[in-house]
Amino acid sequence: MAVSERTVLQFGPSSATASLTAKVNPLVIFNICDCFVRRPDQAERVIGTLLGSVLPDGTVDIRNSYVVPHNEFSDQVALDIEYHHTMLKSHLKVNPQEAIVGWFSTGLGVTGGSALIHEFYSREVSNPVHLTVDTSFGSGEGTIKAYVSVNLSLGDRPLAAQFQEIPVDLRMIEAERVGFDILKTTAVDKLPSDMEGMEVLMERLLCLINDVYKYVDDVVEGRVAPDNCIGILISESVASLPKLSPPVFDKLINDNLQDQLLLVYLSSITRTQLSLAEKLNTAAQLP
Amino acid sequence: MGSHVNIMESHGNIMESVMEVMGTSWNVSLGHGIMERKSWQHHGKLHVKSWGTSWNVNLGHGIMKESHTVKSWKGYFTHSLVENLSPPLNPKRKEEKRRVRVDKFLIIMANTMARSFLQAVATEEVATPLRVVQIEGLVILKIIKHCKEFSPALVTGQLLGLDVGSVLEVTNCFPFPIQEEDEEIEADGANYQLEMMRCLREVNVDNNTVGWYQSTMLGCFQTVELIETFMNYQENIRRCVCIIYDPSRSNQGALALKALKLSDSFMDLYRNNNFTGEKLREKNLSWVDIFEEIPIKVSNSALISAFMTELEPDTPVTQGDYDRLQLSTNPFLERNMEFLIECMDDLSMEQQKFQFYYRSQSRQQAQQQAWLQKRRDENKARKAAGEEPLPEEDPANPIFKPIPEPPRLESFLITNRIANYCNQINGVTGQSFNRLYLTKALHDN
Repeated sequence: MAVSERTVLQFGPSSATASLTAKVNPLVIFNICDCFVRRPDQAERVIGTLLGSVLPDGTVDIRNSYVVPHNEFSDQVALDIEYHHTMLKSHLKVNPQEAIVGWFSTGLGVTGGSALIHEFYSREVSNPVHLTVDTSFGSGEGTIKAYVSVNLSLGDRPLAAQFQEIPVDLRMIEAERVGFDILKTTAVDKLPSDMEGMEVLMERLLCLINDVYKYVDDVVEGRVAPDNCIGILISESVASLPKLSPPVFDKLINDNLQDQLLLVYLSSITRTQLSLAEKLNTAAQLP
Repeated sequence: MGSHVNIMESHGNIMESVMEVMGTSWNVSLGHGIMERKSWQHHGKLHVKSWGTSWNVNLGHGIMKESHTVKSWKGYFTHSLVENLSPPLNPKRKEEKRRVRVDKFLIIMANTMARSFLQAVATEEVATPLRVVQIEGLVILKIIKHCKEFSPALVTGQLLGLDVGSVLEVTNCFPFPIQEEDEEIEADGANYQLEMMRCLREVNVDNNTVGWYQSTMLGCFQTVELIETFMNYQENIRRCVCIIYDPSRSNQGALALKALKLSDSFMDLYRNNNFTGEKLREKNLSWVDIFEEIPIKVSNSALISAFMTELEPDTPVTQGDYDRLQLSTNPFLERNMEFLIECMDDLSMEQQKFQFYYRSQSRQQAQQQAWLQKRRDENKARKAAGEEPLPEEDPANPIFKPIPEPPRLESFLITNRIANYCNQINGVTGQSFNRLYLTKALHDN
C-alpha cells in the first residue's frame, strides 16, 4: 500500500511548544476576577486579551490583561473586535513593550467556542497562549491552566486544533512584596507600617529557628527519623553565615551602628531647626 | 411634559427601564449584574444610554437597598451625576498641560417632580468629611506595576471609583502614557483618556473619577504641580484623593503607599492666592497643615480572596521578608541625605529672600520716618511764615511704594519635603538598628 507523504496525519510544530511555560503576574488573576464579578448579567464567562512578552528562554511572561466584551450563542462567538483594538492601542501607548501573547477565559478547561476565539487570536499573534481561570471553583479549587494550540491537519486540510496544556508558573513575587495579609482577606483596616512589619518578621524568624532547633533535638534524641536532605539544608544555611572573627565583626557592627546613630542625630537636629525657623519666622512677621 | 420612569424587574436584581424625558428616549439599565447582593448597596449604578447622543448616568453616592420603591428611584436618579461625553475635552488648555485632564461633570435633572428631592439631598448631605480611602487589591497591584516598570521615571494615572459617605472607594485605575511637551501628542493624551474611560465603562467598571496616583522618588512629591493638579481635580469632582507610591522604598519590604488630600483651609487660601504672612497667621496655617494623609483600607472581592488563599498556602518566609532583612540600606540613606542637603540649601535660599525682604522693609520704614520728620519741620517753618502747609503724604515718592512680599508657598513645601526626609531616615535607621542587633545576636549564638 503506497502511502503518499501528503496523507500523513500531521501534528503542528509540537517541538516548539515542548519547552513553553507561562508565567503569570498576580495582577492578571486579580483583573480576571474583577472582570468576572462585573460581567454583564447574561454572560456565563468573560474572555479577554493577555499582554506581555516572550522571554528569551521561551517563557511566556503574562503581565497584563483586559477584558473584551463578547456574546456566545450555541456555536457562534461574537467578539467585539473594535473594542479589542481600541484597548490594545491604548495599552500600547502606555507600555509599548507589552504585546499580545494570548487570551484568557474564565471556566474550567477548553470549551467549544474556544477554538474559534483562539483562531482569531492566532491571527493577532503567532502561537497564542490560552489561560483559563476557574472562577466557579467547580472542582473545589480555583484551577488556573494555560494551553497552546497545536494544529492537527491531514495533509493540507486542517482537521482540528488540539489544546495542549503547558505548565504555569504562579509564583507571586510581586504579590509577596505587597504582603499576602492584605491581599488574602476581604477587608483590611490599616496598612502595616514599617515597624509592625519588622515585628512580625522577627516573630516569624524566631519561630523558624525554634522549629529547626526542635527538629535537630528530636533527631539527636532519636524521636524522629533523620532525613539527610533536611540535614544538608540546615548545614548549608548555618554555613551561609559569614565567618568573621569577633573583633572584626564587632567593628563592623559598631561602625554601622554609629553611622546610623549619626543619621538619626542629624535628622532630629534638622527637625529642631525646622520648628525653630518656623517660630522665628512667625515672630518676625509681627509688626 | 411627559416624563415618566418605567421600571420593570426582569430577573433577580436586574432591572431594565425605558424613560421618556421630553420626547427623548432613554434606555436605563441598572445594576450591570454585579453578583453579590451585598455589593449592590455600594455599587448600585444606574446607566443611562440614549441612542442619539451618548450620555451616561452614574449613581455615584446613592446607597440603594433592594427595598427601595420606584418612587425613590426617581429621587436617586435626579441626584446622580451625569458625564457628558459628546463635546470632547479641549486639549489645548494650557493649565492642563502637565499631567491631568479631568472629565467635566454636570448635573441634569431628568424629572421636574424630583427637583425638591435633589435639594433635600443636597442640604442633607453637606460635606461629610472624607475619613477613609478604601482601595481594591487590584488597584494596588496595578499602581505598583505601573510605577515600578517605569521607575525611575515618574508616572501618573487615574483612579476610578465611588464616593460613598465618608469613604472613598477606589475600585479601578488606569495609567497615563508618559507625555511629551507637544501639542499633537497632548491632544492624543486627552483622547486616550476618553477612550479608556469609555472602554472601561463598557465592561462595567465604575466610571467616576476620584483622583489620581503618581509615583515618587524617596518622597519628594510635595510640589507646586501636585497642588495645581489637585485644585484642578477638586474643581470638577467633589472628593478627590491623590495616591502616592514610592517604588524605591518597596525594595526594603515596605509598602510605601499614601493617600493624600489638601486641607480645606489651605485650599481656601490657595484659591484666593492669599499667601501673605498676615493671612497665614490669621488662619494659623503652618507647613504641617497643607497636606492631610487619609488612612487607607484595603478590600478584595470574595473571589480574589478565595484565589489568593488557594494559590498561596501559608509560606513561612515571603519575598517581602527577604527584602526587609536586607542589611545594606546605605545607598538608600545616602540618596536620602543628598536630597535632604539639597532641600536645606533651597530652604536657606528662601530664608535669605525673606530676610532680604524684612531688611528692605525696615529700611523703607526708616526712610519714611525721616521723610515725614523733614516734612513736618518744613511745615512748621511754612506755618511760621504764614504759608499753606504741604500734605504729609506723597504717593509719588518711591519710598512709599510697598515692597512685594516674597511668596511663602515654596518654603512651606520645602519644609514639608525636609520633614518627610527626616521621617524616612528615622524609619529606616530604626529598622537598621533592629537588623543590626538581630545579626549580632545571631552571630553571638
